[in-house]
Amino acid sequence: MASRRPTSDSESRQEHTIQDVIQTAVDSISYGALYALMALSLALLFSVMGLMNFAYGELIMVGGYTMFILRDDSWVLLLVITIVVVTVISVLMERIAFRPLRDASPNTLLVASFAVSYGLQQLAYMTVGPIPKGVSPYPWLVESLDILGISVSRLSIITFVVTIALLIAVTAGLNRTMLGIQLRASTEDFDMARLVGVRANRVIVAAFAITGVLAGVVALCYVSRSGSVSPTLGQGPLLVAFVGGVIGGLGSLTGATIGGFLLGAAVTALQATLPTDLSSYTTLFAFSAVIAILVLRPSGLFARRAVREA
Amino acid sequence: MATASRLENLARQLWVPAVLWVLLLIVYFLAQFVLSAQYTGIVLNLFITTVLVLGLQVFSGNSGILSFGHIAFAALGAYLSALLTIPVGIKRTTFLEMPGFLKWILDVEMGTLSSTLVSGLFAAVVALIVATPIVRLRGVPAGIATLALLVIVFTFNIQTTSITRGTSTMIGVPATTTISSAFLWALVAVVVAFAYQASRRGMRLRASRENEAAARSVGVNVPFERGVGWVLSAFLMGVGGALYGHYIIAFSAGEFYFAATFNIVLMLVIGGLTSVSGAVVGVIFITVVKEILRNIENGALDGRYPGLTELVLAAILIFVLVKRPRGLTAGHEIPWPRDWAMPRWASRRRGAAAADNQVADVT
Amino acid sequence: MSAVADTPEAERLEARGVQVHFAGVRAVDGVDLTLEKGHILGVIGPNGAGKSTFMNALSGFVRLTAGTVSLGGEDVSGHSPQRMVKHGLVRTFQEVATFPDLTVLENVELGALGAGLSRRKARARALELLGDMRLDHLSRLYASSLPHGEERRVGIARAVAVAPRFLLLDEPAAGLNDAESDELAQTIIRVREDMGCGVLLVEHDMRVIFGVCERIQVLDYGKSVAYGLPEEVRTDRKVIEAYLGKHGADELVDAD
Repeated sequence: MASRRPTSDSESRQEHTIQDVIQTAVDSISYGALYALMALSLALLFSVMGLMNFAYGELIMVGGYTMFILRDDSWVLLLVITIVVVTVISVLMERIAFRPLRDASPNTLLVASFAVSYGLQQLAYMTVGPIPKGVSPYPWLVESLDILGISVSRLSIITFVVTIALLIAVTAGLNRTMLGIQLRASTEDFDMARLVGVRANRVIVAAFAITGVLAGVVALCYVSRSGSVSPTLGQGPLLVAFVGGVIGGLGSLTGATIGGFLLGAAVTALQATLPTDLSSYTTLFAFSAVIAILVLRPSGLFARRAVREA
Repeated sequence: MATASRLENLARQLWVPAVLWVLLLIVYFLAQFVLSAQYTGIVLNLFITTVLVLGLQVFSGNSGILSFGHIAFAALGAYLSALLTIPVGIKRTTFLEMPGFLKWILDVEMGTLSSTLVSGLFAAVVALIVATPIVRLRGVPAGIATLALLVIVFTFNIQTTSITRGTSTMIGVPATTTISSAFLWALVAVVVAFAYQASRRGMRLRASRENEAAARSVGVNVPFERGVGWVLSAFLMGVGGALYGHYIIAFSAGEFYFAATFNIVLMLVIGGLTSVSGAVVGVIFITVVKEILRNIENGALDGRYPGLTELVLAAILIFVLVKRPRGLTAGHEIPWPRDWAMPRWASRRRGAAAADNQVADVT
Repeated sequence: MSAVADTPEAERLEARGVQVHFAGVRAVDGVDLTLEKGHILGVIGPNGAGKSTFMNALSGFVRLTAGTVSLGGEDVSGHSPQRMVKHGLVRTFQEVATFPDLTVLENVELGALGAGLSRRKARARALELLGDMRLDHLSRLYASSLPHGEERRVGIARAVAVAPRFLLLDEPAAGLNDAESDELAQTIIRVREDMGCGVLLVEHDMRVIFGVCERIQVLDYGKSVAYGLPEEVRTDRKVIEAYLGKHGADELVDAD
């Protein structure tokens, strides 16, 4: 008896570790995919209209508050309304702030996106207040499922399935539909696309609508996991997606998506495995990498090199 | 005749800094002799902000590269000046885990003026170290890189609690920034910014802002000129940061992040990025608007809508970007009186009709 | 061609076998060119002939794929534009001739600073040049507020202020009306006389080209197809072909 005990203990500990590793792996992949969706959105806006939209994070914040308001309603209602609200805000953002600046310099657009981001945060402070609001996910969402003897939370699996499905859907949409082809043409060379008859307003509104829908989905998955929403909720995920996007190449949809996925997965894995302060110092290295890549490989690590005359 | 025109030339050269000095002097007198004491802090803040916004203007205004990272240099200035001036006794009990290479700082107790200058120099040295990648970039990548710099310095400040106390506030920082010292520094900053802009170096950097290829075609080494502007502007930011630190005394890392960045970018862009006048006009204009909004927010609305001021400021910024993308001063200096009728205020892109409005805005 | 051989090497800008390729496209495909000090050489050719790329290659703005550029006998291939300026080779650009938000005086002063003058001397030289070019009454205006013709002349004044040995002008007359073009042509001739520099003029406006150039070189598809006196070039069949195509050239000859 005396000799059996420790063995059983270490066995169970080992089981526990394997369990953790798998949960972390699934989390990393599913949240990596979530960041990939965000990076894809940023890249879409960046390549169509030269806008690095820092206000994208605030769309997630808006989604979070919509969820907070609807937290006691049925999940179908919450799902639909959150996505609709975020999409509408995204399109309004274009209409009110960015359309009048269509011909402005990229620098001006950058300042404007800061202003929108800051303004929306202040709006949240003003209406809801600075204290984080709890959005407890539906109990069934956080339940663990047994898959092949390994338990993984349902939310991770849903996030994984939904984001992968969306990535495939967006890719297919961009490649197969007329609007998608126009959008892709615009990301390659917007002026040329306009010359051959692509209507600028239509394409840009479409880009904001698509990225709005994606932001809605990101908000649903992200806030369900974080469990609370505050005015600055969007900043963290935005920075990760943005850095990933730059590393992968914001000028290329594929490059940015891969960059967002890898960095998002890495950050999720690090947060699970490293003590908090060390994982924060990683921010320092991530942003140093951003500067290095901007100088050394401006088109990103995963994008094919732009062939342009100097 | 020759003497007269030489005198006029001299007067023309001194005109802009003189007008800006008078403008700041009026504000100083209002605060000292007219306004009630509750405005002293606001005006003091205005002078410090003038130093910071002029610091940003020296680089961004002349190079045309908007930096979102300059507040990082202000943070460095504030922390260093604090560490150099906090009484030794307090320092020894507060910073128990000060890393070895900085242990000497625990035994230092400097005067504020020298610590402010040292802080400015420190910011300039750090700027010199990070200049190599930054000066090679332009446009959006440059904006992103400077933003990355802000995040890096902020992360360092908030994590390195042994030196900065991180999210906790500094303790024992001497409150040495007075309205008069801040005022004097603002005057100095005006002269530095204007002298640089008018100098050979500043002119070359401005040429690269207008057209990089054409600037190179007359022999301008663009990255080098950007580097000079970058380092000089970091010096002013370091000084401004030190002044700020000695004004609010209890500050933490969060003081120098997005909100502060937004504040100075807002003032510079609204005033007019490409001119020294624009920086000063922007600071005064936004400070006044902010106070009015704050009074409404806390007075008529009884504090029910916190953040209203900032929300309106963000809206004003977007409005100005759309309607007057080059700011209230149109990015030009306040013109010599007799030049107001000349078309120098007009630019072809905006049409001659704009000339009158532009003069009206500054006067 | 004999004139070229007579000039000492020190007085020449020479390009030998210059090639510039972009992703497989041969924008400039083996061009030779010789510009003597004190001469005005025109470079013409249809759109896309590689004129601008060739000028970029000469002035260091584009990397040479092959070939050499030498200034006064010294090989300067691959030098940066700033170093080219130090060697006395200065160029202007199509479209944007000036720094719009700088004053006329500052524009020209920058050129003089590029020549390595001190601030005080640079200002004096700029004022003198503006006087010579009858632009001094505009010196305090922003360059952006000038009419096109005057803006172009300020652009030339800026380049001249660098005291170039060789001046490369890239379509200086584009967008100007006839009166402005004539004034510009006079300016170019006067600059050559005052400075004694060699001028390379890339231009579409044939009035300007035939009005000021002593020699003309024709590019087509990145290659040099003709070189000679204006009269010779005007009647060269290969030149007519380059502009009108083979078919058009045949028709023109038939009509004669």
